[in-house]
Amino acid sequence: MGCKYLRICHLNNCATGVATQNNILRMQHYKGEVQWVINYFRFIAQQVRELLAQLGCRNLTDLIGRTDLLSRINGYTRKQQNLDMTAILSDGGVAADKPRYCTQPKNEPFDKGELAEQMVRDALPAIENKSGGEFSYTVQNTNRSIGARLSGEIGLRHGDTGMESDPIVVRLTGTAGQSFGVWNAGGLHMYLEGDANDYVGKGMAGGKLVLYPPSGSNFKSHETAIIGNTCLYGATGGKLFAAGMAGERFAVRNSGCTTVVEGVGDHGCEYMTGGVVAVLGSTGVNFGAGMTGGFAYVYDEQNTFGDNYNHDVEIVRIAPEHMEAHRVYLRELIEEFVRETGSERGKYLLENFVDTVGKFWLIKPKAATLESLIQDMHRTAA
Amino acid sequence: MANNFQFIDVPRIDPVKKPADERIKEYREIYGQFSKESAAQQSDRCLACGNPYCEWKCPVHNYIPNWLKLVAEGNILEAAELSHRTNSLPEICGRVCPQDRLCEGSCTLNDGFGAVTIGAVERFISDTAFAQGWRPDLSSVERTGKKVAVIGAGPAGLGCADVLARNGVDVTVYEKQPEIGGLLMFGIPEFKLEKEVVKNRRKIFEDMGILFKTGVEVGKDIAFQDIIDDYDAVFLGMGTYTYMQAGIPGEDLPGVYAALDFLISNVNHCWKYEKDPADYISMEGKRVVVLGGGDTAMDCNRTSIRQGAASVTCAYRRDEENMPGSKREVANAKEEGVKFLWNRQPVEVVGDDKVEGIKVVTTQLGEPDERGRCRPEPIEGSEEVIPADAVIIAFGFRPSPADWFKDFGIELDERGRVKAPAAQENKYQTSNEKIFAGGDMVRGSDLVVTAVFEGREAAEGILDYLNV
Ligand SMILES: Cc1cc2nc3c(=O)[nH]c(=O)nc-3n(C[C@H](O)[C@H](O)[C@H](O)COP(=O)(O)OP(=O)(O)OC[C@H]3O[C@@H](n4cnc5c(N)ncnc54)[C@H](O)[C@@H]3O)c2cc1C
Ligand code: SF4
Repeated sequence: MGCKYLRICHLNNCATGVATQNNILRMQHYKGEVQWVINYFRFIAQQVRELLAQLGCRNLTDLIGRTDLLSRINGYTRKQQNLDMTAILSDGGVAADKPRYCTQPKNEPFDKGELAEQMVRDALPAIENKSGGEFSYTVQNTNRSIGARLSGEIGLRHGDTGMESDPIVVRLTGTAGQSFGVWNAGGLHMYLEGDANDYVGKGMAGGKLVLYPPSGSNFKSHETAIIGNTCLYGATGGKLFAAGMAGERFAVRNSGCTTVVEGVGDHGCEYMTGGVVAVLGSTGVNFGAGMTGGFAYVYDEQNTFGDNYNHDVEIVRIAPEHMEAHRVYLRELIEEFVRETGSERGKYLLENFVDTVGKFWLIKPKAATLESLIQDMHRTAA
Repeated sequence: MANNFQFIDVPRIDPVKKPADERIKEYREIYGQFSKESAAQQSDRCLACGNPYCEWKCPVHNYIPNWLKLVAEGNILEAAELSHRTNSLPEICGRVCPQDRLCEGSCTLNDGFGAVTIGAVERFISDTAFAQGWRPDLSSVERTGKKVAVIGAGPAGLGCADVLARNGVDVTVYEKQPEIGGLLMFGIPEFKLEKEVVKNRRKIFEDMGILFKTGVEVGKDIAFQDIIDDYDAVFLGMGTYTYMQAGIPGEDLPGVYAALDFLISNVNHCWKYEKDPADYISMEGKRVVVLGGGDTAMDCNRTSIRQGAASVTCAYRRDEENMPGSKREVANAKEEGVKFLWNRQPVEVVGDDKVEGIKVVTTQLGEPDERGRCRPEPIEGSEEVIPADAVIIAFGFRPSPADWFKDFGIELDERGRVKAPAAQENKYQTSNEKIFAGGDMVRGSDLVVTAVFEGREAAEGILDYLNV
């Protein structure tokens, strides 16, 4: 079958193509049949059972801490013979009839998900009939993963994109708890007047998340946090518009979401592999570390971005003549952002676009050509 | 930054090699050095296989994946420290090991991706660390008060001295040549290993407290009995120096040379060690035929080219597939203009009072013998004479036990090698309990890295014997 016991099965880079989803490795370097791998795992399982049976155990967990089943061999060299193994073979003073691993019931979460269940009860008919609808609630930071239950019900019936044309629109006020809009499905549009905790839009696949400050706020939105850390972690699609600053590691591992925010903390776009990120204000350090796909725009008002990006990526200006396509695209993106959030910052940039466009950077992975970005852009826009 | 797919994204890239027409004008190494970035980039290709085949194959069992990771992360000094834990001469092995059949040959990526450039990185680590002023740290060594003599400053002797010094033993190395290194100095040519590297290594060993007595031949300039009396134990690493002969008529004609005499005379000439300028064997303007197909033959070929030979022809009795030498060296020789005649067996050196040519017959390969190698059989009526002004015989070496061995009860095996097995109470002890041995004189001629390993292992045997 070609397995060389590399013991990197968990890294997806198995050079013999056995334990990987990488197409090059599977197609060009795997020397066997798919069926063989299946057989191989059957055999392993079989042999594990046989060994367990020989030891008189039913489950792997029954072996935990059973040092009494181990016996010492003599060792081949003088050094080996001198090893003192008592500590490693000790039962740690635990009596034989006492459990060897944690058998306590798990820690029940405080949040019973009551609001989320209420939302499902309210919206379920509209989901089942694919009729769409609008619902309003207030949230507080103990309501976690708001939207996930709805996305689940939508996904179950209509898949990632099936409800896009007849969306469920949810209007919220308050402060959302962790993971607002996690795994958001196409067809769920959530508008939050207020702010949200960490992990907004984590793993989101589609739909729209829009956040804006409470009306009447008198702070400057582009200097104020509106969403927490690690937002859009591993998102694959959809849109996130937030009229305020995001925390650290914004859009880490994003692979397809399009997003506009007014500022980010450190490590923005880390390991990003796809999607588009527009930052209309300041960034922290280490922007773009390990970024291999997608692209980003950053509005560099203070001329500091040159010190803040990681050299895994390349930055270019979009003011020059041949960058017309990027200018048009960025402008439309900010227009959409302003429509959705009413952002003052966005309005300011658009009104002075002739001047402000000169301060934007385009950030791209080193290996990507400018032409390929434009193709990606059309794909994302489509 | 670590990239799990680096081995697909980035191909194997060796350090640049000088073009052949440039390198034949000088006695300098032909491979360039990595930059810090390219070393990191190439090191990052390592998969860190849970079962490191490279590490098992490497005769000294270097912690290869571990130092590759350190280099990928830019930690060169830590890498140098780790690399010296298993190898006494890493910068030298990185240059002269036949990696294609050792570490790199067994690299998982050698199968379809291009092996990691292990040798070049190993060399890069120590060269860079030395340039930055790094030196082995012996500050925590406790002196044992024991004294050991090492006879022979070749790779085996140096490996042994290194481990002994790191364990607090006073080491004195006796060497009959004017410089240390054994075949590293007087054998392996400069285009594979520049002599400054050996001299630098000497300084490092001296700073570690190892005492070298060069130009002292044991058994001649100093009696072995004196050494036995003065030291707590002795290590022998004296190599193999009996030249194999062709056993054909005309072999003693003027113009026929033994490979090592030729190579040594060249080093002596370049480094002004020669006692008499007439000792220099020059191939300038001559038509040279080298007999043999191993690494020594390649070294003779390429040295002759650099001396300005009119032509260099290498005749070997098997085909290219069945050559014992490293493929890399054969390729380098071809690039430099050496002509190869495969399947030719020499039968006579022709000439009246000096060499005029060499008569060869064409061979074909017969059935494989018990060791799986095909025996060449001559084809009748295929004799031809290759005109030549000089013939170099590079058929390898047999053991050369000193005549005083028997006075000290040092037993030999049937092929003249000193008996000093690894598997015994004190590793590499000879039949005289106070005397240990390793390297070519125990294994028969082999490699630098295997000699280093035996020297190091023997040092452990000595430490066990001395109970320290
Ligand atoms: C031309 C040539 C090219 C080679 N190329 C390579 C290569 O590219 N890669 C590779 O891995 N291997 C190569 N080898 C093989 C390698 O050099 C040897 O296997 C290795 O050097 C053996 O080490 P050693 O310490 O056992 O012996 P040596 O290197 O032979 O050292 C023995 C030392 O003992 C000294 N000595 C002997 N008798 C006495 C005495 N009575 N008193 C004091 N000193 C004494 C000798 O002068 C010598 O310095 C090559 C060999 C030759 C001949
Ligand atoms: S010592 Fe030789 S075999 Fe071992 S890693 Fe270095 S080059 Fe490879």
